[in-house]
Amino acid sequence: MNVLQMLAVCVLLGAGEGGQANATVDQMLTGPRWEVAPEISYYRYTEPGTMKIDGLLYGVAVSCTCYRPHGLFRVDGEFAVGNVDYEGSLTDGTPYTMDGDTDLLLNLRLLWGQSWPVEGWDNLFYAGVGYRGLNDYAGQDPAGYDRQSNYVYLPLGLKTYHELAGHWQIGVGGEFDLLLIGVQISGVDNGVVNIQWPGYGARASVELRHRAKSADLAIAPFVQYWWIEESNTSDGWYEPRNNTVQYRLSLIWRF
Amino acid sequence: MDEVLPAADVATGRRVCGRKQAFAGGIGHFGVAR
Repeated sequence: MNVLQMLAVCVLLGAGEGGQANATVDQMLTGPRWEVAPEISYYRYTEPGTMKIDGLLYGVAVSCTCYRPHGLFRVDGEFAVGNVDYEGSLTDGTPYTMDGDTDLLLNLRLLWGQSWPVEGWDNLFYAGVGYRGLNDYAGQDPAGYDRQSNYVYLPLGLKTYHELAGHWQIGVGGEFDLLLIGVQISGVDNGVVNIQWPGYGARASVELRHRAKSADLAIAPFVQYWWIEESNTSDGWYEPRNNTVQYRLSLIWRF
Repeated sequence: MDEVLPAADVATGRRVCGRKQAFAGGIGHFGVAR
């Protein structure tokens, strides 16, 4: 398999979370590495002074990493679904709640990274482009309407891994996400599209991994934050300034 | 029921997404009335 074929396999089939900084010759020779990670997360979306939505999401993340002499290429994918609760108000100001609305979350990322070892620590810098989509199916409620949130962003991240005793390894990561554009579609007045900008996100994660010859297993708590500025006004409607927090726990199987 | 705009929007008349519809029936998937 040549370089282009290997990269094509990653791009077409892959997607996920995590990442191994140690781009050794062995890794380059063994070809792509895959990660599959079932996950559970607590999700909370807030429009301060207007409403909040929160609940548990269940999902899976898949990734494929190709190690090359000039860096690594990685495709991340994550899909999660769950039931969430709304707490806000009606348009006449009456307090209103809804329980059990379905939310779908999709994350796709294409990353390039460069690693460098320093005294027992394997460090990785990465950058790329990401898409985050969230569908909130509140239209099942008589007073509700569906919403779709789309973010295209530029992720910039650092990770570092350190070998511990007994085939254990610990990793710590941080990431800054710069929003390139946010597109919010709301099911009001025959559909309203609002453009959101500026905005940013941040991620932090810890990974405790047990390494083995055939496959590695890791547990990884993770937190993601988004802050998005008020949108433009479209047909008289606007999306207010908002923020999202997601606390996630993943079990990562890498092979 | 009358719509009551948040105080910050009274002057502009803008309507904030996030508040739900104050009438029965609502709005279906992405604006398809039902």
